[in-house]
Formats: sequence, C-alpha cells, structure tokens
Amino acid sequence: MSSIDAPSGAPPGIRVAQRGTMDRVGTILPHVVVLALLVAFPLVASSYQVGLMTQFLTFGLLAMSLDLLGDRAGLVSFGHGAWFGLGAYALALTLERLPGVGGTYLGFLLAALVGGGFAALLGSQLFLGRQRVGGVYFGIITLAVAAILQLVVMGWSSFTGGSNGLYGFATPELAPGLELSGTRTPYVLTAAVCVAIYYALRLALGSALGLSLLAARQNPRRAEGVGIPLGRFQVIVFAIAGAIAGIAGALYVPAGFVSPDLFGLTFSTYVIVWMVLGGRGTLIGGFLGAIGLSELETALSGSFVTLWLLMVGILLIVVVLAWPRGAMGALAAVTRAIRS
Amino acid sequence: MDATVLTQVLNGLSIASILILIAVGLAVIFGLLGVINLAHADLFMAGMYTLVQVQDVTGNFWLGVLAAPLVVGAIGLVVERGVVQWLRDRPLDTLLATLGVGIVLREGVKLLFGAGYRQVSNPLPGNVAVGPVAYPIYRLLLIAITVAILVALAGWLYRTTPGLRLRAMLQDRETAAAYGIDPGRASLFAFIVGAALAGLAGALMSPLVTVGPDVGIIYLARAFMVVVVGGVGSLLGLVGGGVIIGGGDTLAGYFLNPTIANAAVLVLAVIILRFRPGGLFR
Repeated sequence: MSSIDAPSGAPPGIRVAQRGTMDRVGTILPHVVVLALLVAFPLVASSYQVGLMTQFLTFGLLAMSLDLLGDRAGLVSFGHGAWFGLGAYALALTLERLPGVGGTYLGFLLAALVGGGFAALLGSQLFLGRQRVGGVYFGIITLAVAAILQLVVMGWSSFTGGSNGLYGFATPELAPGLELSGTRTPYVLTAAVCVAIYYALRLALGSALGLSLLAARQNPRRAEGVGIPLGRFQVIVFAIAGAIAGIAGALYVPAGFVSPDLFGLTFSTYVIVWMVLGGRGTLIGGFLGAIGLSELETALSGSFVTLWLLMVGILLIVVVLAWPRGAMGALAAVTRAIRS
Repeated sequence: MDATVLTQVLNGLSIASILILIAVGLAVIFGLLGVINLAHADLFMAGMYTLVQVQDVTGNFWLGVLAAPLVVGAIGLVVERGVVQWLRDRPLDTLLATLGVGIVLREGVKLLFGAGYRQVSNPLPGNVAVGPVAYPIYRLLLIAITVAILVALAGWLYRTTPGLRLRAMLQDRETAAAYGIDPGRASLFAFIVGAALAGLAGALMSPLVTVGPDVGIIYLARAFMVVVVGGVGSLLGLVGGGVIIGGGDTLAGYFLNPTIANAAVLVLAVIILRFRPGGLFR
C-alpha cells in the first residue's frame, strides 16, 4: 500500500500522503515512545543520572544542529563544538556580571545571538563571495576556526578564565525563586527546549526554505538555475544551526562549569561521531546518537575508556564505508522489513 | 645584517620549513588524490612513536628516522586499501572516515604504549655560527632536509615515469586509464608516499616537542592552513603557504604576545581563503 511513497524513506519535514491507519500509527508511535521516555526518565532515574542526562540532552541538541547543517546545506562543520562553547561562555560570562532572572534571560539570548551571529558572519564570508567555498573547505575552515577560538579563550584569561575555565558564577534563575539548580529543573528545561526545537525544525524543513535547500543540495547548479539563492540559504541555515548550538551550550551551563575544552577538536569530533553513528539526515539520529553513546561511555568504567574510543573510531569508519545512514537508517530498514 | 634581524629571519625560515615538513604529506595526498586526510596528524604522531620505539631498542636516533617513513607508509597502505579507495566519489565521507582512522591510531597508540609523555633528546645539540649569530645545528638541518624533500618530490613528479602517471591521472582519470595507467595503483602509491612523509616529519620533529598520543592535533589546523593558503596541488603553493603562515607567526610573535599572534595568523588564513579559495599560488 505504501510502497510507492514510503514515509520512512522521506527526509524529515517532507509530508508524504498518508494512507491507512497502520501507516499513521507507525509514523506517530516513535514520537510517542521518545516523548514518553523523556517524561518518564526523571521519575525513575536517580538524581545523578538525571544530571548526566541533562548534559547528554544538550549534546543531543548540538548534534541535531550539526545534522541540520549537513543535511540541508551539505556542510559538515568539523569545529561545531566551538559554537556550543560560545553559547556556554556567553551565559556564564553574563551570569558573572549580572546574576538573577534578568542575567539568565539576557545570557540565553546572547548565547543564541553570538552563536547565530558568528555563524552568519563567517557564512556570509564563505558563501556569498564570487567563488563560493565548498563542503570540504568548509570542514577545514570550521576546524581552524575552532582552533582559533580555543587559542583566544585560553590566552585571554582575564576575561575567559583561561585554561581553568569559568566556575563559581551565579546559578541561572528562570523566575524569582526558580533556580536552575539541582537536577530536576535543568532537566525539564533542557528536555522541553530540545522537543520544541526538534518540532520547530521539522516544520521549518517542510517550508519553502527547507524544500529549496533540499533541492539545492541534490543539484546545486540546477537549483540556482531555477532561481534559488543557494549561498544566501546556506548562510541562513548555518546561522540557525549556530544559534541552536549556542542555546545548547547555554543549557550546559547549569552544570556549573565551562572549560575551553568545549572549543577543542576532540569535543567537535565527538559531535560528528554522534551524528554519523546515529544517522545523518534525520535530525533525531544525531540527538539519539549523542545520548546513547554518552550513556554507553559513562557506563563503561575508566579503564575501558581507551578501548571504548578505539571501538568508536572503528565504528565510525565501518558506518561511513558500509552503512552511511547510521543507526536510524538501520532502524528504518528493519521497520520496513517488518511491515511488508 | 643586524644580528637581531638575522635571528628573526632564521627563526622564520626554521618555522616555515617545519610547517612545510609537517604539511608536505598532507599536500601530496590532497593535491594528487583530492583527499583531505584528517588522519594526517595521527600518522605524524605514529612517526614519532616509531622513532621512540626504535631508539629505545637500538639506541640510535637516525635508525628511527629511517624506520618511521617505512612503518607509517605501511599504515598508509592499509588505510588506502581498507578505507580511502572505497570513498573516491564521496569527498565529505572521506573526511569522516579518515577522522575515524585518526581516532583508531590515537587510541591504538595509547593502548600499546600508554598515554604518558616522552621526551626525545636532541641528537645534534649545539650551535653553529651563521654570520654573527650562533644558531642550533638541528634546526638548520631541518631546513636543509625540508629543501631536500621538496627537490626530491619535484624531481619525482616532473622527471620520472611514475610522477608522469600521477600527473596524468590528476588531469583526467579516465583518459589516463585508457592509456594504460592503473588509477588504483597510482592512487595507492601517492597515498603511501604522503603517509610516509607524515611519518618522516613526525620522527624529525620529535626532539623539538613533547611526544604524546595527542601531539598531532596541535599541528593539524596549522598544517591545513599551510596547504589551503598556498593552493592545493602545487609544491610552490606549499612553500608559499609555509612561508606566509610561518613567517607571519614569527613576525607577529615578535610584536604581539604568542596567543594573539597565533590567532592573528589563522584569521589571516581564513581571510585569504575568503578571497582566493583556490589558494594564493594558483
């Protein structure tokens, strides 16, 4: 029945005509499951686990923004952690100077603005020029940009705390008396923001902008031929991805500590690994990949860390070579097999 | 020439030649295969560890320098056959897969040799007089070796049949294949040469740095900048990139603090790419 326009094969945001109750249930069910898990987790897990999960959710949001960039603009940032770092430092530095509710909201706003603004600035230099910078060069440039930012953050210690990072800043406060302390409140806020951004992105990807971008990625020359301003759209997507990464970084701040490692290449590499293993081009794949892999890594004790990373490296190679669609692709294949 | 100026010029030359030495393997693979090898920094690191191991066993630094390109070239062979050759039409995926190769090398070294740091002593301590300045012998030697490598590469590419084959493949893969050139073999060869050069650079650099599993990452961004600023696919570009980045570093480092100098040079590189994405020397 659904073999012609199988919804599972369509990119997120593409509305495919749905036929039959089974198909509809099959489409909605995963959403219900994930949302139910998000709600149930803080009710059953220990406070320590909830605290960890809050961090993992921010990583998931970061991986989601990277996937947005990769899927719709054909760009993979190899220094995406830097945008997360910008957001985290924006909020932490604001709270240092302006504690309380006002500082919290100003900090979150700055995190989004700095992340988005920096991406827009860099993107306008790279994509609007006479000779547009392509995907591979974009990877190197973002890698270099993260390296620059890390140097600046480490060197400018009077402002950024240098290699010690920042700590001891005021606890963010959502409303008078409602502090983002402990584990429950930050978890609820972070989970809510992740859900909101995910569905907003799905809506946006189904819009004219999202579809034009998809067309442009599939055949850039032809898309430009029909009048899609590819460069401008790439700047917009980069800015959106940067802003989301900044917000994700700000959500990381209630953990109480930000360090220049967020700008390091290791962290950015992690983000790429989460996205690729989770499944590219799905938005949710990177999100779930970040959470799943971070949980696994925590579960394995310290002595296994090197072995674990070795396995991650091997998995990354194997997935890119043999299964480019990652875990979500595998899941979709299994679902299709069961249905037919 | 004034002694201070001469010292700065020598420093600039030394840093530029070190950067060229580190980047040359990357440039060979990028220029000839169009592949950005994100495992480059870790091949560089593997060269250092080869040297350390050989030196531990034999007590001879120079044997280590000989062994490093052989061992790392062999790693390159495995990487090209196992990974890179399958991703010819997926440049972005090559980046991702070689990133994975880098992780495997890094963590593999940690498993085999531990995560600790090693110090390699300078095999040629002491200075030699250059006009009014006494300059470290080893750094002068590195400048000479870099020049020798570049000359050898140019000779290989422009004066030998394998070089001719590679250049033919670079211009038009299919036509070259029609003339009986095996593109697969030529690609493999180029990748091995690039990896071996990374290993050689690592071995030669080891007395100047603290050897550790993560040492390569520090140089990765810099090496990329040298290659892309100069322009992909030309040895002249590589030299130009090294001189601009290295010379800029020295010049800026003389007037500014090192952090700002580092940042300023990388910003300069991004600006150059903005206006000349193909590199300056193309």
